[in-house]
Amino acid sequence: MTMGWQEQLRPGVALRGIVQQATEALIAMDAQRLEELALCCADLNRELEGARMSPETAADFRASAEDMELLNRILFETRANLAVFSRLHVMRLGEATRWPGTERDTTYGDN
Amino acid sequence: MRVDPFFVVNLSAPLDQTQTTQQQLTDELSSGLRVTSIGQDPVAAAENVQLLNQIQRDDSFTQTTSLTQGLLQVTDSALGSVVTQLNQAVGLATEANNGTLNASDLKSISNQIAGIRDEVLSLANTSYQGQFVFGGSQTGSTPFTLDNTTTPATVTYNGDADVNTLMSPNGQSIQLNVPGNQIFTSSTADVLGTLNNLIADYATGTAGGGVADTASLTSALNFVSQQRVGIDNSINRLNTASGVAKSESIQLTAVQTSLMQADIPAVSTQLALAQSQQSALISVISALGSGSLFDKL
Amino acid sequence: MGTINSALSLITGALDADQNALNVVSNNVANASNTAYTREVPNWTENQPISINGMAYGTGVTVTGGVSQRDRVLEQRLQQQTQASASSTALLTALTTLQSSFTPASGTSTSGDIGTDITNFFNSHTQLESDPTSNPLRQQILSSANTLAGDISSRAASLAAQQSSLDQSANTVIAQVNAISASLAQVNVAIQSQSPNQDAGPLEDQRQADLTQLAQLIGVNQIATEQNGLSVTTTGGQLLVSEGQLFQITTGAVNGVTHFFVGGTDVTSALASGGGQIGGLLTARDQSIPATLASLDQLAYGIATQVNTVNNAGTDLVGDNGNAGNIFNAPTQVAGSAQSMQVVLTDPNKIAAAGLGLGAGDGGNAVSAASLAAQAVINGQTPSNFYSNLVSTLGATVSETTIQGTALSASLSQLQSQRDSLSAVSLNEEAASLQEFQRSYQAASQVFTILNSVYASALNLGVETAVA
Repeated sequence: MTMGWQEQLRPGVALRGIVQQATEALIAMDAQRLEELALCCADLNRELEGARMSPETAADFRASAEDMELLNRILFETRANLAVFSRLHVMRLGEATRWPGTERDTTYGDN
Repeated sequence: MRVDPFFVVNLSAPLDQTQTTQQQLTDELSSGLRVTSIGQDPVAAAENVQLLNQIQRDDSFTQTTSLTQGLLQVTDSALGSVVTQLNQAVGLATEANNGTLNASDLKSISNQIAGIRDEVLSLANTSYQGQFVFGGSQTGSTPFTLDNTTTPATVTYNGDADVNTLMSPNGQSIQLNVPGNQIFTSSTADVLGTLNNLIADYATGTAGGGVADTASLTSALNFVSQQRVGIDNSINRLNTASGVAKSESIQLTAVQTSLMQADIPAVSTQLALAQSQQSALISVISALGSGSLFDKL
Repeated sequence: MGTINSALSLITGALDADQNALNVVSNNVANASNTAYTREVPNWTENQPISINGMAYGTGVTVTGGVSQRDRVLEQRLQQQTQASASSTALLTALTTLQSSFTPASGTSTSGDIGTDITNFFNSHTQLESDPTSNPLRQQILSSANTLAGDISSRAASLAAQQSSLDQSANTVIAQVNAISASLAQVNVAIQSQSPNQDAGPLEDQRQADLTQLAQLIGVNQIATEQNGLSVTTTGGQLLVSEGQLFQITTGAVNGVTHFFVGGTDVTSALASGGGQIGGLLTARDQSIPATLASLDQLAYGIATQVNTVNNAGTDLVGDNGNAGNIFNAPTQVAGSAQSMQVVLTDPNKIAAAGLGLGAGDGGNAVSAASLAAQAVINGQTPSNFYSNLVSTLGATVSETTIQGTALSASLSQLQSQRDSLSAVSLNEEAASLQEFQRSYQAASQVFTILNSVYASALNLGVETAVA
């Protein structure tokens, strides 16, 4: 995983780094990066399972509550944006089928 | 009509945000404090208020107890001396009662007991830092006055029955005084009255009602010892409460510190992240066109 | 640009920000001759690519109905987000100033902290319990009272000052809005008379510039009318400009602050929630600050009246029995009691430490005063808890606004880049791009969900930073 120097740090801080990177990647709509980060998360989650939580780690987690809330909020806005563009796409599909002389095109990819 | 509306991509806001974040983190590193504004961590800020409140209460109480200890010690020591004096008086009275002494010996004993009574009276009028300790709430006037013109002599109590308390941080009520009429002139155990009676008894050269009065004195002595235990209890409770307050203050200070204190390694990491975010934003802004965005804002 | 079909009348000055759009369009034109594209999409070249005064909208898409409809959907979303962002930024600036009045104290630095002042004041009464006649201890009560009243009143004063300054800013913004509306009305007249049926060139640039400026300041909706006309309303629905007709926003004082009117209607609260800079300013002025000030008032009123009552229920050192007097000036009502909080007692001997009718050595009334600290005397809470809640409420508002502002900027950034990549390509590209977008969303959701459960279990382990 491309966690680099964060691996040497405490899990709470590392997770916080993931949240911030995921937030940036979501703004940039970098799907590949986000999928990498999701894998990182799953790995880290497995590592943390069953491990005793130190007060240090718990404090790190508390500190990242705001980052999580931000990610949550951006996810919300992203979904709304996604809905807008999906709707635009559907409108264009509708238009495409109304032109004279064009075949009805409802599929993509290889015809 | 053109359709353009509001393309102003306000990238200056996230740029400001990274600047703010970096400033916050730098402040954190230099001040050692993690939460420098309530918006940063509202829950911690609220907890901080309550922790500091409790810590300050504990510290203030610790200060108060050191003032109060003095008062209680003086009270305790006075009562201890009273008991010593009364033991002596009982010894003298017992001797007087056994029938082997002559009239002049009995008169002498009467005088000795009078000396003891004066000493006890003086102890009953003990003061600490200018306040009479056995006067109830009337700490400004002499609690006991003696009238030698009557036979037996009479003692008047000028104080009241008020008991003062100190509240500990955890709500315990600690008694700080015993009213004088409860110890020295109460109907159960009239120390001064009994002494005056004995003095009058032996002053004529005969034992008189000495036996009965000696029995009263003995029970008065026991009563005073009991009262002393009450003061000793207060001293112990005060010590305990003070100890609890001190250790709670130390514990809570540790909690408060770790709540509010910066975690240097974590902060350094966050600062590095914020800096890289800022660089990324700056390059996005530059790519979108030199200065054009800022012209719009 | 040499490869671009001259039929595409493209970029003019208004689009200097849209480098990305430019690149995308030029790419698209290169692709337009690709037969793979023509197979899957309608015959682009048969249809006049539409230039909408500087912006090329989807080569091959008809201008009527479809485009304007589609543009409106996107436009609404962008507009709403931009205006919300401007409002959020203005609000956050105000809140940052507001919260600086309540900086958390540390163990070593507590000067000016109201929470500490409250504690010290009640502690000074506890100390008096042990030695009720002590002059230094009585002086301490007065001095801690003065510190408490001083800090509360000065804090309230700076809140009032901030409110006043926001009021001025709001007035300035509205003056600017009126000026721009006037300019818009004039430009509309010129455009409708000179170019009712086509692009009005530089006049249109001017109109766009006015609109852009306006949208930063105030939340607006725009409506295209016949013959290249334009109407502008506030998001609350008040007409500001109707083609050549102008509706100015007027002002009037209501309860000490400026209210804003269009015609006879008070639009102040509509403006506060309507977006733009004015939205943030008015929200801060009319909600955030008054709410905090009201809490301070409750705190001051509660403490002053309760403490005064106790002092008048005991005996002091100069023989007053039940009428020793007030320590704080007695507030007549809750509103304004913070700013006017003051210590009126100057003689330490008039602190009634003893119970009624008792001698000077009694500290029972000092006990009563001290125990106010642990009683629910301020709106159902102890003074310290009340203040702690004030702090967390305000802090939460700041935190929320910060997050919202960042999220809005992020959303705008997404919209901008997606819009650029979607608006000028074929349906295929658009579908692929949408898919990528959806993928991003799903992966990000996954990250969030996993982390959320990690955090939940961390909290469930009940690990507070408790000392072992």
